[in-house]
Amino acid sequence: MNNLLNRIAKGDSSAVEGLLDRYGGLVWSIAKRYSQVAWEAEDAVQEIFLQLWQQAPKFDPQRSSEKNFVAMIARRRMIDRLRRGLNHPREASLDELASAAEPVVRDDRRIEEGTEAGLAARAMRGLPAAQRQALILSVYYGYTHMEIAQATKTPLGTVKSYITRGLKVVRDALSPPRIDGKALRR
Amino acid sequence: MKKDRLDELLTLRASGELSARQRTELEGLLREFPERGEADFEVAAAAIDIALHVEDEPLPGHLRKKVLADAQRHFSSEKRAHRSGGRRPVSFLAWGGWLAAAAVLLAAIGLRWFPLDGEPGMHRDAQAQRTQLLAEDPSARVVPWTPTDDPTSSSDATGDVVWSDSRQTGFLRIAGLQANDPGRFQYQVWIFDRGRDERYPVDGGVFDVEAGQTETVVAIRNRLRIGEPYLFAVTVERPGGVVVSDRSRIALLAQVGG
Repeated sequence: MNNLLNRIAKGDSSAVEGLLDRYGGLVWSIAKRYSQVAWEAEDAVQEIFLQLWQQAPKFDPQRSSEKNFVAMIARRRMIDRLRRGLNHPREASLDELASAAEPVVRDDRRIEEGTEAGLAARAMRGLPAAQRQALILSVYYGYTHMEIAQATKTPLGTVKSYITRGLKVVRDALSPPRIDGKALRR
Repeated sequence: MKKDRLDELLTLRASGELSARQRTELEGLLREFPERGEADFEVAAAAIDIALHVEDEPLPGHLRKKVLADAQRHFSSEKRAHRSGGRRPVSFLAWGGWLAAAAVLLAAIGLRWFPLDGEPGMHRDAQAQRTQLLAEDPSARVVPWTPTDDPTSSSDATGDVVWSDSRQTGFLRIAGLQANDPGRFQYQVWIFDRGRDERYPVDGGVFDVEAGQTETVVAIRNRLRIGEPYLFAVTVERPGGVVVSDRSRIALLAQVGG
């Protein structure tokens, strides 16, 4: 596999610029979404890339695309920062609540069919609106289950259940069939 | 049943809701079911994120340079480790530990600690070490500063203290504190430890804030082990710092859990 993360895992530092060209904007956008001020986002971006250099050997192209792996590491760090109080706490805004209730993808053509994002979008469109909203507020905006329960005036147990089941639906949409516990090549 | 519970814990992890107790439970279940795709739910969450993502905003040029510099440091240390027989790379933190040991030695022979962080190169290193500490120690505490009414401390002074109990190391990050003339006064950091007399907080070293610097990152140089820190304070002291502060000028406070 000649992807950038595999090259980085082998110590090929020349792949770093390529990774920044390809995913720098994605990482920066994710960091900004979870941050209230610029320096928090900048700090986070440095942490995310440091994690990417360290975690690159764990990237398995049979389990996820490179873009998805980068987004996964970025999300993991941003949620960790939020929970540890590194980023300023936020309150669920009415705008976010409203947009989270809208259809998942406004322009279907924007997402390539068959990609993980495309499969996830399709799976989410099949969810009831309230469940989709809870999932988006949790996964996309990083709110805690408790914050979502309070903001949407929904019992905490229901919110937890929405998010757990919603993630399972998306996971199943993405997961290839398994034989003897091993994932088949996608 | 156990597999259902494992899935439940993995979904909690993917949405950042896993408690310390649940993390331990998850680790046990993952050992029991190693074939389970432990990152599957995080992959699903990342796919949702990308699906909802409208447009990438370009990475700012100055940030790109910082990331490239971080990468250069990372790969250089990896190469050094490889050349020295595949041992783990010597981290900046280990170097920080050497500095702390040197501080003890200097104290033992009666010399004052000197403010290394005034040098621009040291500032960059402290920043990199702070980033690395946060990335490597998930239990590191992060405590925000509260400004005071001291003239050096503007109302919008901000930043935080990052402290790792296990590594006995930490960093101050400060913005909005008045630049100092090291010949007139210096800042000194103090760590209040529940296991010690409140009158004698642990000295964390002196430092300077350079004019024109938007943000200062300083490594804490505690010469004593800290058991349970509950307060960090920055005081204004005479050049070189003091052994016991009279606390007449407190510039910043950071209360753990405050």
